Amino acid sequence: MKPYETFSTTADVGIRISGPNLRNLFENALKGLNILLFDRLPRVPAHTSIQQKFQLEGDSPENLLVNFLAEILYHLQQYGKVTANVTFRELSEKHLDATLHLAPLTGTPDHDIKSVTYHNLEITTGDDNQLSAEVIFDV
Amino acid sequence: MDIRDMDIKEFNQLSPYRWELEKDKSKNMKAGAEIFASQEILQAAIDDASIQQVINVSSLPGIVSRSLAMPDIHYGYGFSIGGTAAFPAEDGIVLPGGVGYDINCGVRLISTSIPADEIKKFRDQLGVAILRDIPTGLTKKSSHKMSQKEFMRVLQNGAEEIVNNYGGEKEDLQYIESGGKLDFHDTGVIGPRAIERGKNQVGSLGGGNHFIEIQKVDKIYDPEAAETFGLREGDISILLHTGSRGFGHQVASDYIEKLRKRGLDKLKKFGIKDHQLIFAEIKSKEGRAYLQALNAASNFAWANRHLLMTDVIQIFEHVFRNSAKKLGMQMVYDQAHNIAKFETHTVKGKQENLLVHRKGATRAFPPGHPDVPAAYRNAGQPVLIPGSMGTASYVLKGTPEAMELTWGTSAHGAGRRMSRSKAIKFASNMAVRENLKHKNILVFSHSQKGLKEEIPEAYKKIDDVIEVTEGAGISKKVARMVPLVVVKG
Repeated sequence: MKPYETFSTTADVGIRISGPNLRNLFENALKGLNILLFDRLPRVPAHTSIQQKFQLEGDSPENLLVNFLAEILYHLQQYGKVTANVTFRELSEKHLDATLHLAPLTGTPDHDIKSVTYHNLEITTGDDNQLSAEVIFDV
Repeated sequence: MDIRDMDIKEFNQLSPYRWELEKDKSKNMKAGAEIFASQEILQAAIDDASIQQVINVSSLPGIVSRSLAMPDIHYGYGFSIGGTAAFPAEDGIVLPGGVGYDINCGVRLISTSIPADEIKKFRDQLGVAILRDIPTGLTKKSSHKMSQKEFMRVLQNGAEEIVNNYGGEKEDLQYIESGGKLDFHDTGVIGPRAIERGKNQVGSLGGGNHFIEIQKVDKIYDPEAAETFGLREGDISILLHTGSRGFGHQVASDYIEKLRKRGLDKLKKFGIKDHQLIFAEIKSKEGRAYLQALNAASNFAWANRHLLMTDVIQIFEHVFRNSAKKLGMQMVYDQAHNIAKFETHTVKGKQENLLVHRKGATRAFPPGHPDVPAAYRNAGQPVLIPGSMGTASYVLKGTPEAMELTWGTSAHGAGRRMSRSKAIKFASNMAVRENLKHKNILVFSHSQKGLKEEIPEAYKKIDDVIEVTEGAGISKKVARMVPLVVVKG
């Protein structure tokens, strides 16, 4: 399975992600979301990006994933800042401590993504021990 | 079994446009389901799995009568788009997934006495001005800046706050569903992030499939009702589609999170896998808080559409160098298509208070109903059903059959039939703007990709949806409008 790819349902859009561990899975989720939004991965040198630290507590990895992606959308929608990268200090099944590397948005996002949904979201482990999930966004 | 393999013969065809799925324990259904559709629309709903979503809703505890889907049914999350369900007001449940993230997304129609011929020379100017002056797109904020205090008053008073402080007439309020205001008094239920996001967005269109459209009323089906609604053949009308912007999205997200904390066990207990169907008891602390927050977001959306209307009216006044009064600009109606409201309905011969969820579905109350504006009560409530970009929109009126069959509910649009990625592929070599220009429609938008996603071919044919809607008796045609200028969000 690809690390990330985008897809559409009739009314909405989504990402399919995979990775050997949660950290990789979440990093691929960020990449998938950026492809949905901009059709490319933003490239911002680390030393010029704006660092935004944040922490999340959750009841499950799915809960953390939804709120992680929601945080990225919040910075885009509220402040016009693109998340180019993420650095995790800690990521477990119920706790996330990370820094988002942000840059000002130039241009217009391809999709008006309103929110992250829990629709059919389940992080599963395949026979190859890869984690995978599908996330649908409300457009 | 994959729902896409379902045979249409599993449905009982109650009438040409009513299909019933009986309560089936093997499908975890607690009630039956009914889909208002032609055979083609029903097959499409099987093919895109939205039928599964209608079935999922029928498995919710306490659902009254059955799970419903309108003729524009298509795949959503939680409820299908076009999904409708009612629960007892006293001891039933409320679901954010039965409303959607864009709380009180809806449409507003304005009539004018401007003949369509007179607008020809101004179309470009109007389109350019609307696109320039009305904030569109994901990140755009309103040009109207509000203090937190002013914003909280908007959340409490809805459209009335805009009339008092920005423009519009007090008489307009009666032509908005619920008078443009639902009770909101518990400001503590709104999170800080929702306020932060919403404060600078009152008076902004948003993006996606939101739009402002200048139309010509090109056919009258019911002359008496059309006259009552102020619609004249050959005159210009304006249709506006938007909702509660980032405020509503954040409220919905916040409450899905809150409800999840206690609600996941309940979902498991009822065998419901889709977390977007998370619910709370109406009388619980979380349920009451969500309902208050829902009302606040609904009021935001009505205020938003009212402020946008005043801005559009100002543009018309400037372009035509005439007052709105002289241009005959008047509100026809404003209605929600993502909402949950307390209403009284007849259940097995008795009047009962219900919480009716409409997700991508509109209210369609009949003649004589006290919630229909007094001036329209003989005709029935206007039902506004926009078509897809570049196609006709319709005004219909509510019927007694709708009250009997669908909790007074009707379709809300054409309904997508093609995903966004398929639409972009389909339109890859299409010059969308030029194609519409050949049909005498000018399109204004900041996003070329957005235009391709919204091509008419991505939607069901609006005429098919209207045929089913009228054929099933849940609304009756009054007038048809065709687009002349489309400003896409």
